[in-house]
Amino acid sequence: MTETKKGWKDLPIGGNILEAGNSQHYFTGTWRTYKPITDLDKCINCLQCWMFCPDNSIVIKDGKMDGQDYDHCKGCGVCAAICPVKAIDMIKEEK
Amino acid sequence: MGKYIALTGAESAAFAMKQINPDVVAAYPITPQTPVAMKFSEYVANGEVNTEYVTVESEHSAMSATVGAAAAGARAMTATASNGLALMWEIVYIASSMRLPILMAVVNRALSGPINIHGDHSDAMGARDSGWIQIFNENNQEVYDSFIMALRIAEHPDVLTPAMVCQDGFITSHSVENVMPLTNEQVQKFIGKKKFKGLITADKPFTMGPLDLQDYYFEHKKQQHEAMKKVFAVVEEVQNEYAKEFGRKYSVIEEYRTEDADTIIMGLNSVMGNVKTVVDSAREKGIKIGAVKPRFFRPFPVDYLRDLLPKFKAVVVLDRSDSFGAMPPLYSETLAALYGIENAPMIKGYIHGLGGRDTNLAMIETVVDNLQKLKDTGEGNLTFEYLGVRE
Amino acid sequence: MGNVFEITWYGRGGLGAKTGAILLADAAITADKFVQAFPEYGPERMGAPLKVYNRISDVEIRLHTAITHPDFIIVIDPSLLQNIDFNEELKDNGTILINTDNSVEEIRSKIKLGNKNAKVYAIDATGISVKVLGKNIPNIAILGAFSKITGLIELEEVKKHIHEKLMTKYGKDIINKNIEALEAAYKEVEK
Repeated sequence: MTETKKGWKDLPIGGNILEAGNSQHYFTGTWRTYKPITDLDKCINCLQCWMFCPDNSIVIKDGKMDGQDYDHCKGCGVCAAICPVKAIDMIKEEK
Repeated sequence: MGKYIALTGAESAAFAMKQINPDVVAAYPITPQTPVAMKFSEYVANGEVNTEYVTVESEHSAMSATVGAAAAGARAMTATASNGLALMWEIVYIASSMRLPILMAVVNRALSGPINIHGDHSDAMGARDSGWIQIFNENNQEVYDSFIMALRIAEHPDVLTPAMVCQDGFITSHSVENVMPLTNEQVQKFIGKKKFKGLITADKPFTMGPLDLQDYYFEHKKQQHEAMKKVFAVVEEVQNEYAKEFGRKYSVIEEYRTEDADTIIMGLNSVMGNVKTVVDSAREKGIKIGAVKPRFFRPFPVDYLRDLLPKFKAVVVLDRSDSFGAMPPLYSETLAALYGIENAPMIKGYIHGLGGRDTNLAMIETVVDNLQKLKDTGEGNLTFEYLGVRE
Repeated sequence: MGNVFEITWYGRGGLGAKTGAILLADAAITADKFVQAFPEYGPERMGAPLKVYNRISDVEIRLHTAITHPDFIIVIDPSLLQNIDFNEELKDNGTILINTDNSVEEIRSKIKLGNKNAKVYAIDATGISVKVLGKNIPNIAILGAFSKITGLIELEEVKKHIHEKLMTKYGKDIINKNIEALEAAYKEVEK
C-alpha cells in the first residue's frame, strides 16, 4: 500500500469507485492469528465452507474445494467450524 | 412569444417540472409546498408526463428515493418546505456529495417553532452549507424560468451539483400571477437530453456512496468546492442563451434603478417587489435610491458584489431569517465580501418578515429614511436590527 | 402603484371566496391585464373568517403585500359586516359589494361607513345560490354582480374559466347551475 494516492483533480467525483471489485487488491491475509489447514483427503466437497466463508476465500478448482486463499483469509475459523467431517484444522499462524 | 396564464408560484414550479418531464419525482406534501406535489401528481395521473411518481412516507424518504433515482441516471426532482427540508437533512448532504444534479422546489417557510406555516428563509438558510445551489425568486415568472435554467446549470458537467429553486411560502406560492410559459418543445430543446449517464450497468459496475475516510474525503470536499466556483460561468452562459432564445433576461444580481443611485436596498425573494415599489416613490421625491437583488445565495456572488457595491455610498441588507447570536446570513456574507475593499459602502442590516409577517411599504419607507441617515451621517453603520417588531 | 385596482374579499372558509378571486384573475388575464389573487391564510377551516385579495393592473404588478386600502370591497358573508370599518379601510370613492337580501339603502345604514364617499351595491347572492344550487355557495353569483358593476371582466370569460377550472371537480350539472347563478346575479344587481 505504498502507491501514491490521486489528488482532487484526478479522483472520480462523488466518492465513486469506478473499478469494481477492487477489494481484491487489499490483502487481509496478514490479519490472521489462526490459519485454516485443509486435509483434502478427508474433504467430501460438500462446499459448505465455500458458502459460509465471509471473505470469499475458499478456493474452488474444477468444482472442488482446493484449500484457502491465504492472501485474503482472515482466519475467522468459520470453515473449520462448519465442516461436517472435520477436514479443516485451525493452527497458530507463524509470523 | 406565448401568452400569459394565471398560475400560483407553487403551480409555476409544478408547470416547469411538467414541461421538463423528469424521469422520477418523489415528494411528500408539506404546507406551503403541498400544491407543488399535488399539481404534479395530477399531471402524472392525467398522463401528461412520463414521470415515475414515488409516493413516499416522509421527506427523508423523498430525498432518498430521489438520490437513488438520480444515481441510476434519472432526471429526478422533489419539493419541500421548512420542517420537511429539516427532515431530509441527512440526505440533502448526500445528494450534493454524490454530485447528483437533483432539482428541488423549496417553498420557503419558517422553521419551527413555535409552529408557523408562513414564509421566511430560515429553512433554506439552514441548508446554505449543504452543497446545493440556491436560487431565490421574486415572483412566479422567476420561479418558472429559474426551474428550467436550474436544470441546465445543475447538470452541466463542470457543475454536477443539485439545486434548490426557492420562493416565499404563501406570499408567492399561493398567489396567482401572470406567468408566460414556454412551449413544451421550447423547454425540451433548451434542456436537451440528460448527459449525466446512467451509472450502474451490468457491464460497467462500480461503487457509489462508499465509506470515505481521512485518506480521500478531503479531496472529495475540495471537488465540491471547486464545482461551486464554476457555477457562475455556467449561469452566465445559460442565462444568455435563455435571453437569446426566449427574450427574458436574468442576471446573477438584478439591479433596479441603480445607474445614478448612491444608496441601495438589497434582499432576496418576494420582498424585493415591495422594495422596487418604494424605490419608485422615493425617486419621485428626488432620493437617489435603487434596489439590488442577488438571485443566488449559493454560490454566494462575492465577486459580483465586490464589483457592484462600492458604487454606492450606503447599503441596507434585508434578511428574512435570523442567525441567533450572530449576524443574519445575507448581511454577514455581504459584509465579509466587502472586507478590505477601498470605497466599501456603509452598511446596515434588517431582519424582517419572520414567520410570514407582512413587510409592508411603510416599513420599507422607514428603511429608506434610515438609509439616507446612514448615508449622510453614518448613523447605524455596521449594525443590524429587527424591522417592525413590537417592543 | 397608481393604476393598480385592488379588491378585498371578506368571507368565511367554504363560501368560495378564494375560487371567486382566482376566477376573477383568470378572466382579467384574458383581457390582457396583469393580475394577482392571493388569500390571507390563517389556520384554515370551514366557517372561519378569511380575507382574499385581488390586484388588477395594466402594467406588471410588483407588490407582494397584503392590501390595506382597497378600491373595492366584496363582503361575501354579511355576518362579517359589523367587523369591517369601511370608513377606515376603503379608498375614497371606492365601491362596496355586499351579499345581502337588504336593499342598498337598508344595508348602507347598517354598515360602518362614516362619512366616506362610497358606492354601495347589494346582491342577494345567497338567495340566488340557494335557489339555483340548493346551498349557500355565493361566490359565482358575486362574480356576476362584480362583472356588471365594474365592467372589468366579461361574463363570457368568467363562464369559460368556470368550465375549465371546475368541470372535472364538480361535473356538468353543478357547472350549469353555477352559470345560471352567475347570469341571474348579473341581471339582478342594480347598477
